[in-house]
Parts: sequence; C-alpha cells; structure tokens
Amino acid sequence: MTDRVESRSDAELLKLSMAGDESAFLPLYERLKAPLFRYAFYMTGSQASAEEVVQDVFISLLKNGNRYQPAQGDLSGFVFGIARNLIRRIRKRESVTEALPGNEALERKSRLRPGAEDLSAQVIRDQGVERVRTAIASLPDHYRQVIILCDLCELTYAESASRLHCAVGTIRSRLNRAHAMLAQKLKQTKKPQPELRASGTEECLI
Amino acid sequence: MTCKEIRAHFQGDHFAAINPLCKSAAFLEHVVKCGECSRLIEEQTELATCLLLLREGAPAMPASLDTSVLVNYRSYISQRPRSTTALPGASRTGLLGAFRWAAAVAFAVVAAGAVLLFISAQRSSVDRVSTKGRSVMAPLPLARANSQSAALEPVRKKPNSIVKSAKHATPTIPVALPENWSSSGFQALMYCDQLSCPGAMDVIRVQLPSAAVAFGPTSSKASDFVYADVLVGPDGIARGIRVVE
Repeated sequence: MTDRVESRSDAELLKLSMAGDESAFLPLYERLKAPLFRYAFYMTGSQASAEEVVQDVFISLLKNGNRYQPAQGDLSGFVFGIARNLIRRIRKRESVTEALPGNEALERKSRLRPGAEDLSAQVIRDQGVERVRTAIASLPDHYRQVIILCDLCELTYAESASRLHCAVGTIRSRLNRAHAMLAQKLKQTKKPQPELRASGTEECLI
Repeated sequence: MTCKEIRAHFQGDHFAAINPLCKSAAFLEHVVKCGECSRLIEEQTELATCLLLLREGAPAMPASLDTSVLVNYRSYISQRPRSTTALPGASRTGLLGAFRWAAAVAFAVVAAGAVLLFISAQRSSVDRVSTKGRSVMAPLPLARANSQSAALEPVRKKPNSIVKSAKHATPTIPVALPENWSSSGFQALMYCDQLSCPGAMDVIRVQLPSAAVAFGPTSSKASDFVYADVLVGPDGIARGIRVVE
C-alpha cells in the first residue's frame, strides 16, 4: 500500500491529501519540504521565517490545491510560487518591524566548534559567508532567485526554470549576470589587505 | 588553452574554478601567462568557495517543523467544511464558481432593467399629467368685477408648477368676491359668502369634456370639449363655474 502511494505523482498525492488521506500527504511533504525550506531560508535569511513559510505553504496548498493545473507545470513549481508570494509578504512585513541585529550572529557563534578546527579559521569563514550572504541579499530579486535555486538549492537549470516559470535560456543568462554582479560586489566589500613595506635588510637590527 | 576557452569553461559551470580541470597543466600554463585570466580565475574561485560555504552553512530542518506541519494538516482536515470534502475536483469547483458569477451578473442586469423600466414608466405618467394640465388650464383675463376692492387686495402669486405648465396663457387676474357673482353667470359649486370666502379669487379658463358638464350647452356632442371659467378661491378650492362655449 505504501509503495503504491510512493509511486504516485505529486498531483495525485495532492488530490488524495485534500480528500483527507494522511498517508498520501506524508510522502508529498517529504518530497517537497527540503528544497522548500532551503529556498525559504536563503530568501529570508532567517530560520524562523523559513519554518513559518514551510508551514504556511502546505496549509495554502491544501486550501488552494484546486487551482493547480498539471498542464501548466509540475506541482513543485506551483508550491514554489506560493512560497515566493509568502516570502514577499514576510519581507514586506519585516521591512516595517526589523529584527534586532545580533541574534543571527549569536546563533552562528554558538554553532562554532572549538575542537574541530582552529577558532580563527572558523571566524574568518563565517565572515566570508556573511559577506556573501549580504551581497546576495543586495541583488535584484530575479538575480537572487536564480542564484539561490541553482547554486544554493542545487537545482538544475530546467528545474529552476519550471519553478520560476521561465525559459532555461533565461535562467542561464540571469545566472551569468548574477554571478558577475556578485563577484563585483564581493570585490567592493573585500577589505584591502595592508601591504608589507619592503624595508630591506639594512633595517634589521639582528 | 586560450582565454576564450577558459571563459567558456566558466560560463558552463560556475563551480568550475574548484574543479580538478583547473589544476591541469595546460590550464595552469595559460593562467601564469595571462593576467586577465588569472584575475578571472581568482574571482571565480573565491565566489565558488563562498557559495559552497553558504550552501554548507544552511541549517538542518528541525524535527519540530514536521510535527507542526502534520498537526496543521490534521486540524485543517478536521475543521474544513463538508462541501470541500465532497468536491475535490478542480473543474467542478471552477464550474460552480463560474455558475455563481453568471447568476450574480444576470441578477444585477435584471435588477437594473427593472429599475430603468420603473423610472421610465414614472416619467411617462408625469408627462401625461403635465400635458393634460396644459391643455386644460388656459386662463383668460377677466374683467374685474370690483376694481376698487381688487386694488386693495394684494396680488397673489401663483405656484411655480402652474406658471410653468401654462406657458402661453395670460396671467389670471385676481378679483374680489363680487356681491352678486352668482348673477354674473357663475354657478356656485359650494356655499360662499364674504365671511366664508375672504380675499381675492382667480378666474381660470379650463377646457372640459362636454359630458362632464351637465349644465353646459346640450347641442354639443359628448366627445366635444367646452370652455369654462372656474372661480378659484385663495385656498385653491373652486367656488363657481361658468360655461363659456
């Protein structure tokens, strides 16, 4: 019975889930949850918001699942569309009430593992990650989305295209431009390394 | 290896900078010679490393999220209305919605039509009344029965509606109640003397069907009209009538 449910398509599972079949809802959730959570996390930059998005997406999917038409694309595209709208709403809301700075940083600091590697190396790495995250967040929305889907969520061009409802060529060109912009931003934010003055040996007293 | 090849290599795969290909001898040989390619590779390597770090830095999904989603699902299924359970198909709901919209639009159209019909019916009845009034009311100047007392009485202003409806008519002349007004051809329609009918009166010439005037000329046909002067008091009530023709 479980095998039969597992082999069903997303659209069939959705129909069964809406009819109240929990055994159909669980595999559907398992299929969609991981990429959805990662996408929401990178788009919002907050784990709490990502969790909120995942919960709301599934509720909305059950409520508005009737609107899904398989002819227009796969279910994951429909789900990502719902997630995109929710994220937009969350960002609008959070632009009014911005979270206190430092919470995320504290969380990241608590994740530091003293024994695993050198502490300073971890701090440098975290700074680098933060720099990239800020740079990605400052990109225009359509560039940020392709970077998140292709580079961070590890989706193929075709999968990203179906989620963003555009052509594969569009994804390719957007990604190229997004990488160029990102590289430029990273170059701008990179701190200039202090150059060592070539003083020669004559100043050495030893 | 050429610069073009290296650029094409990076365009195809954005994580190419950290691929083993970049460690190949031909690649390294070109990079040592070409400063531009060297800078490009440096940029791309940094970008790829940062993106990989960011990818690895994503938090794992908490187990509590699975539980809360499942709880939400169960509560939604238990609370949703029965009609939704009975109609899981998309097309059926869409048809129902379309039918509802169509019904609402049809109802609105019918209601608007009814209102328009009602308004036009009201207008036509008002027009009929006003044209009828215009044909009937044709006041003619009347000689003053008592010019002295008329001069003392103030001229009474007619209501606007009457003035508008009798455009081509000459204004009515207020007259004081004569002593012997019944002897001047008027027939009393009600009891009237100086005490009960004070003030000036208007004489208005009207056109009436001859059948309605029992005391009119008998020679005329029932379908003909006759003119009559009506003596109207200040309260608007007719006091007397005199058939002219």
